[in-house]
Amino acid sequence: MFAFCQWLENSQFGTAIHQSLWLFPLIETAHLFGLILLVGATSALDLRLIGLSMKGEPVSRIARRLLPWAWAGLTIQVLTGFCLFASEATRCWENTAFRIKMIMLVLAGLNALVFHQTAYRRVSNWDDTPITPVGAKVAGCCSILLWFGIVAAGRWIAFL
Amino acid sequence: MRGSPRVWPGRCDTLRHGYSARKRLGGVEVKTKVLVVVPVLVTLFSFSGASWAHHASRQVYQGKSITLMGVVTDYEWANPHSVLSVAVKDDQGKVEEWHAEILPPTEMLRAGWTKESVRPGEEVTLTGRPGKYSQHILWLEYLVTPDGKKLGRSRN
Repeated sequence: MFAFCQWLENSQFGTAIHQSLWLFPLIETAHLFGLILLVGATSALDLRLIGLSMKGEPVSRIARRLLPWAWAGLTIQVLTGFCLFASEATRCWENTAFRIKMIMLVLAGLNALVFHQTAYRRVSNWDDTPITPVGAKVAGCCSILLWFGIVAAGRWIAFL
Repeated sequence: MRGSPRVWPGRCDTLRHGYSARKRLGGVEVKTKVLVVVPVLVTLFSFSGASWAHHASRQVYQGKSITLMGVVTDYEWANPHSVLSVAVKDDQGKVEEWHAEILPPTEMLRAGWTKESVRPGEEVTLTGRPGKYSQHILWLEYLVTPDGKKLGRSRN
């Protein structure tokens, strides 16, 4: 893996971003826009799942409206994130905050997957109720904590 | 279905009032508390000492600056920081390579640097703050080139 990081960083692609004047800050800015879309959309749904917001709205309707934006955000994040990673691959690989971030990303994915396979399958039973089942509350809490953690860890890559 | 009016069961007012009344603690709604506490915590966290390390540099580099003389081995404009590497001879005559952190490329331009400001092989004088935990790294304050030009973190 370290060898791959070295290769990526020294590739024309990685070096171009690393040594660029405006490309690097522009990609970083785009990474922030993607973050707003992704974590904004997931957090709004999470608040409904926990039972803190939009209690009168059916969960499935909120999910249907917000999740396409979350997917769009995730796409931006993966693309821009890969570019930023390519510019400093070996440093990232050795960085504690980066590793924590990647682990939390996997956990956030698993959390969403488990939620969709369990509590969300029976959403028709609790779609309109303001009080959501425990499974949904747990998934919402995990999701918010993980995504906020991912944002924090991402910011901390620069300091650790 | 799009646009057609629908009545959501469970949206009746008695249910909503009953629900919010149960969520009240000490006269303040739980939701309000969350909405106040979370931003306050996040703000405190982002202003905590360590998160300023990157730009204030006090966590990573010592407070006192030193001056070194050596021969440039590498000079790279890079993100997030440009790096100048210099071979420095210590008191015992041993040569060690130091790596000086400068600025991101956009700020290098503003501070008056060019990619030709220094070349490998040139003898330069560096002033900056050495690393607290790593050896041979320097937070460059300013550099003096062979022709006596001073370059730092801002013009002048």
